[in-house]
Amino acid sequence: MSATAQPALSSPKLILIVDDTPVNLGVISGALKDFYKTKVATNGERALALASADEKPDLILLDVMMPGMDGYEVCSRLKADPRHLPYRPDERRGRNPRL
Amino acid sequence: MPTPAPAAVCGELLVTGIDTTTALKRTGGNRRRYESLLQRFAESQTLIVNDIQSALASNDSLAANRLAHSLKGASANLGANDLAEAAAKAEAAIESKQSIAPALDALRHSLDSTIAAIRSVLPSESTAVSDLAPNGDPSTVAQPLSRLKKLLETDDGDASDFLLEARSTLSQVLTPAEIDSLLAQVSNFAYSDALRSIFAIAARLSLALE
Repeated sequence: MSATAQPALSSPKLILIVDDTPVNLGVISGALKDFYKTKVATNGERALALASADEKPDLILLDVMMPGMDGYEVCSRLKADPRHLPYRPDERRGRNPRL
Repeated sequence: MPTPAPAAVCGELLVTGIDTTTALKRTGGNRRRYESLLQRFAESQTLIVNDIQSALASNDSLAANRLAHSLKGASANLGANDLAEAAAKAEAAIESKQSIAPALDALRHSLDSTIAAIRSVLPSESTAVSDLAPNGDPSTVAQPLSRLKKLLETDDGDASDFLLEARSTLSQVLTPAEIDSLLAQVSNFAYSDALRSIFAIAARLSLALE
């Protein structure tokens, strides 16, 4: 993976992308992968598992509307965790957040 | 005179009803990935309006709403702007429980023409599904399969691009059916299914993966 947008001294930041629609995961990870390391999850349970894995994401892009555990539920569980992260609800409003 | 190459291979990608230029930029500029996403979209969304209608028929308007919402997001991301608008109208109609039938009719019409336009430019990836194994040297795919396995095990977003890059190497050894299901699983982010496929392939080829 190239990491041209990263400062030379740091390894690429890790972004966890959560969306139940594969096309959206594909588009978002495609847009980010040259600048960041990306992990993907298609449901809330998997997202929580990856968020608390050894290699923690620096940012989570979270789809709100998902079957099963929705984005709000994932978010409240993340916030209940003492290691919780800043979050940005990903509802396609402003497609180009300054990450 | 040489035969002109298909539009999918060189030159500008022209698909009626889709703003490919903007969407290609949005997806990181990787043409192969974008085309693969369009193909997967065409394959996965064909019956979505029926699914919405079934959900409504069983009084599950939440599921119907979610399907329309997903279609709206995916089509907007891929540059199918008219379709995204039709999906937004259907979503609004389902939410307000008003004029649902005409909104779904319009959505079906827009979806069908968008899918037809994608298929005319990018024929389905899963046309020639054969179980016949090519006679390449199995050891040549040990490294790419190991790498893919690692990417899948770590939920890495790079797996689909890696598979698209490794496809020609893999197709010297894997059967078209194996390639096809691997591509479908990875591009649908069904990573655990894809891992099972890799283990089955490695077993068939007697390969030890890292």
